[in-house]
Amino acid sequence: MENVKRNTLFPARGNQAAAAARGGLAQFWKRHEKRLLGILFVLPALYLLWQFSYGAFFQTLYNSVHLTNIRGQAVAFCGFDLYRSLLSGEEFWNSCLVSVEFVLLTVLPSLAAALALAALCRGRMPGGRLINVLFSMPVAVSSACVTMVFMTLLEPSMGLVNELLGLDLKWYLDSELALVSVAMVVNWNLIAMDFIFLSAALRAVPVSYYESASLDGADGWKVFRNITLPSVSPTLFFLTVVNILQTFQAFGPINIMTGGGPSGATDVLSYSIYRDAFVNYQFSPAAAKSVLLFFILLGVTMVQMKSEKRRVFYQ
Amino acid sequence: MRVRKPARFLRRGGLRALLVIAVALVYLFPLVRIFSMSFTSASELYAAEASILPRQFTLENYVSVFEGNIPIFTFLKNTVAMALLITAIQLAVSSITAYALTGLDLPFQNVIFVLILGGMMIPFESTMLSNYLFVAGHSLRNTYLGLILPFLLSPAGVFLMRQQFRSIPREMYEAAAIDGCGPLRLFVRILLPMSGNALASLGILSMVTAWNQYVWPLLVTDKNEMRTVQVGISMLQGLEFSDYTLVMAGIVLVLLPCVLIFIVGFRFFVAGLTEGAVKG
Repeated sequence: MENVKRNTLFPARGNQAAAAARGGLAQFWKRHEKRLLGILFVLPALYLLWQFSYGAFFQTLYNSVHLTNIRGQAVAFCGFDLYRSLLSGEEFWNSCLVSVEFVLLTVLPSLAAALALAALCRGRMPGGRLINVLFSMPVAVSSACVTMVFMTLLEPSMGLVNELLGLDLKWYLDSELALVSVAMVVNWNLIAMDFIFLSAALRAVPVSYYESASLDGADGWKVFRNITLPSVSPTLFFLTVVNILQTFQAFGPINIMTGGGPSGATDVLSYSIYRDAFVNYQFSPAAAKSVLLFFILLGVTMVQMKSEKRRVFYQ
Repeated sequence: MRVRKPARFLRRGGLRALLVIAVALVYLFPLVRIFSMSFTSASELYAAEASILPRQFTLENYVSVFEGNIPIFTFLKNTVAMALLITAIQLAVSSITAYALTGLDLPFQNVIFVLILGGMMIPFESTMLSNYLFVAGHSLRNTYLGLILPFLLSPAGVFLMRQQFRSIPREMYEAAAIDGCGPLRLFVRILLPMSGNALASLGILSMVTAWNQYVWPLLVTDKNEMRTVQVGISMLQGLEFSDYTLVMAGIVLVLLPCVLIFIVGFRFFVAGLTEGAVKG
């Protein structure tokens, strides 16, 4: 609008200046196009990275040393009091213990099962492709839905599992078995993911290894121990770490099936963070917990990176 | 013919195939059960003794779902919108970022790339609270924008697209420059069309992940009209609803689109997962 006014006042000069500016800008853009476009293209990612990852994490750190009101606004600095009370309370350690038990109940069984499946499906066989798709499919099946199916299957009074196996177990209602029940659901999804990675790793093993083994008359177990296992061991290690990270973040099945109960039996860290913040509206203890969770998972990742470096080094 | 030559069938891996089928039936039993329950009438479920397949095949549960007895189509509409938005924006953001990191003249490319990958190290739980407060503070609860915001940048996606752009030979960039093709044109007309496989991998991965999202939609929606399928369907079980067969018919409708996408794009999904996770 202003430009138009100016142009009517000083038509010649205005036009000239505008043209020059336009030409200059175009020229400037032309000359630095690759740099300008680069900056322009990386900005959205940098904004999102700051707003929802790093910045959000710093916000969590900030909240963990402040007391917050019911709407999550920091109202008073409190130092490390929250951490101190967490580390001296029983609830946090119970969550840690349950989380570790949960990892043991999921990571080892799912890796073993997936490895067995991948070894079973190795090589050519009739319908091999279909089988491959079928065993990978649970990775795309939502764990919320699977949890509900497992709940009907494990239902104590009329569930199919109790009836078919002639058991009388209370499963997710029993504080001894609740964690196992949740682990079953999580395993069901994990096995498929592990299967995808392990069968990809097995496909990379040269067929000639297996051929010469069978010429030498090696039996199935020997082939598994001497060829299959060594060739997937890097993948197994990588999956162990990924599974630990995923299991620490398992939330849906616990929320749907047990709600952290009975009496804290399935109160893993990620669930207790949710409960503190979104059931009890205590944002700062939840923030302190999630900072601790961050450091636990960072430790796990560090172990992986360290040993990966070593392996590369020795090769 | 097959019956006459059982020995040959066994030698060719038939025995192994039979074993695999048995294992598949056990492993995939929960899926079988969803289907069979969705075709069983509620009265049979409660009256009869346990049976894996329905004694009397019925469509009544599906009829009831389509009559709107559970608001599954509202949930589906929200989920489709959320998943499509996340996928489209992730594809766009990943490819422009990867292009900035490889083909353009951006300072500190490696530092930025490491920072983006480092974002993967921060677990969702550690940012969840702040992200929730951000979304709630901007009154974005119960909106699509609120549902998708924390997932628009996918470090694995940037990694995948960066790999893809780097795999395109240098001569391609040089030839384009000599022909007077500017960087923007090069990106839109040459690099993107050459990256179909990588884009498909990332797209299917994002789509399936977004579809099955549970925690975040649970936090930022509390109205039935804005619920997504995963949250909505699991809420049904909390009510006085003991009509499991109806819920199972709903679950079939929830699973079907995602599983179909997965099967159609299986090759891409596997490629994306195994490649993108190597660095993750």
